[in-house]
Amino acid sequence: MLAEDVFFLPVSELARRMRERSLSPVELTEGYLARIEKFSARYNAFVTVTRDLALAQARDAERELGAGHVRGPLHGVPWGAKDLLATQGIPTGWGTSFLANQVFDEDATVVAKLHEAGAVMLGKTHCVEFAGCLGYRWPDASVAGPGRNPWNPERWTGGSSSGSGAAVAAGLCAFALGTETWGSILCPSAFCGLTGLRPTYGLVSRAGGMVGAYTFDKIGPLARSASDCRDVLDAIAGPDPRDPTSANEKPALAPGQGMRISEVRGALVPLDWSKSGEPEAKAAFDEAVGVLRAAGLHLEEAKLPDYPAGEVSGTLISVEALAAFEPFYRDGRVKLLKDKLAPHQWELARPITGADTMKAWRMRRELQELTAAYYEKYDVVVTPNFNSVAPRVTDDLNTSLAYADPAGAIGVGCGLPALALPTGFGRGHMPVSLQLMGGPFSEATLIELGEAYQKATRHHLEHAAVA
Amino acid sequence: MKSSRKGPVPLTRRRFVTLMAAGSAALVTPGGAAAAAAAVARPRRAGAAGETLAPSDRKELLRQQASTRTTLDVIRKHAMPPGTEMAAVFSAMRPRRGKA
Repeated sequence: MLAEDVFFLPVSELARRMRERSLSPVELTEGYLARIEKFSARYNAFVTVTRDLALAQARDAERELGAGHVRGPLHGVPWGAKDLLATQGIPTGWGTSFLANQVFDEDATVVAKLHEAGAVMLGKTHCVEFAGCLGYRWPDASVAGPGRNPWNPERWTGGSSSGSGAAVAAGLCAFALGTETWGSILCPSAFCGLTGLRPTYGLVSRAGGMVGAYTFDKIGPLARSASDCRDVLDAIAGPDPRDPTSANEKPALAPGQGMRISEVRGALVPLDWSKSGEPEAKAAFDEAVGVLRAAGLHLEEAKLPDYPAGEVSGTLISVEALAAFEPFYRDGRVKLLKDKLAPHQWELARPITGADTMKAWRMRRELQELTAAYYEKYDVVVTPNFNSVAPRVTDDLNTSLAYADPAGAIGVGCGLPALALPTGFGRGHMPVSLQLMGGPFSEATLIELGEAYQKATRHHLEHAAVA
Repeated sequence: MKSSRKGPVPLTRRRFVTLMAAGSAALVTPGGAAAAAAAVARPRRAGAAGETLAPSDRKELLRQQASTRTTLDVIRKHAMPPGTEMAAVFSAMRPRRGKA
């Protein structure tokens, strides 16, 4: 029987032990499956467990690794897929009750790539219904109810990749895939004390993923370290003929491909903590900034581009989401969603005219130009991920998270990558986090900055007591 | 390029998911803003969208209506030169010769 700590080891360490045959992929998979059976319901982590597939993949990995055939750093590593990624022959419910039996006949590209990499899929993780793209006000807007945080089950995991956050934080899988339209990877990473990466828009194919908002959706990892994020991103990134929006380029992600930390010009966004946020979160952030500086990062205070990015991104997400979910308004199933206002969004959006939408598209270009100019001066933006710890699972999100997200508005509007890094703990010993946001395709630099930070700290190695 | 606005309107992390909410009375016309304001004063009009809702949800619906009006106001008042390019790019599609 494996020691509990094994289930919280980073991908790189699991892979090393499996390559050296001191850890059996089958035994590891059986251990995770046992933990899922024991703990998943407590945190609303997994909606579907693919036991037979996982054990078959684990046996394949054991045989191949035993023969010295190593597919890559994820070979034999167990993972979970957000339940809006298509999986051949396995239900994909998009967080809803009425699509619980929806089955696709083809894997999403990211799922297929992870199969090819030899990773072991343990199952599908819960998420907020329709990834929150029709709005939600309460954490329980999911078929399973709220994602419950392994650090304190009375606290929310964050959303919309709630089950992915819970599963990794509870040691039910080594990493998980999440998706982000606005905040859905960074948020659960922050609240669950994980390292999460929102990739550049287009870097990772969305083929086979639920469309929430056509020009905003991204797929990325929630994991235990920046290095783990590199390994997962390297496996899932790249051009894909199935996704016409996928980028033609795949930047080199290997260690050493990013900028040297001493050459990185960092922008520290000035924040007024007196208006919002918790002092404990500020203290952790300030300490993290000190660590980054000590590691050699040059940081100077610099405001973000002055632009109504939130209005632009929010409006476009709204109209794209309504277009994506139009069939459910037509057949009335939108009324089966838990969020009481979701059925009303179609009618409520009528004031947004076509001209408004086109104006927002033109403004988005203007925002891109401003942001590109900003990133000529700075390589990375350093700012808190959230200014407070996870709200309670019964909290109204309108009030519990009622502070601005200017970096997010620009980041999602311009398709920028961001890395969430745990910075310690705030109120009630709940995790807090910072984000590093770079220019398009700067993932290698973000990851190496994250590695430098995590080399000097141990926050990412701490895990919740799950027993 | 520079925005004509003084500064961005603070947008909460939750507000973006409510931006699609708006009242039917706020339809864009030259007097759109006035019509939108009038909609708030006509609860029966708002009730058409929210008549089945609990009071707290109806209150939230009205809040979302107001939020959308504010957002649209920012977008409509934002000055841009005619012909400003969009972020989206359209391109003509070649015929797929030789493919079924």
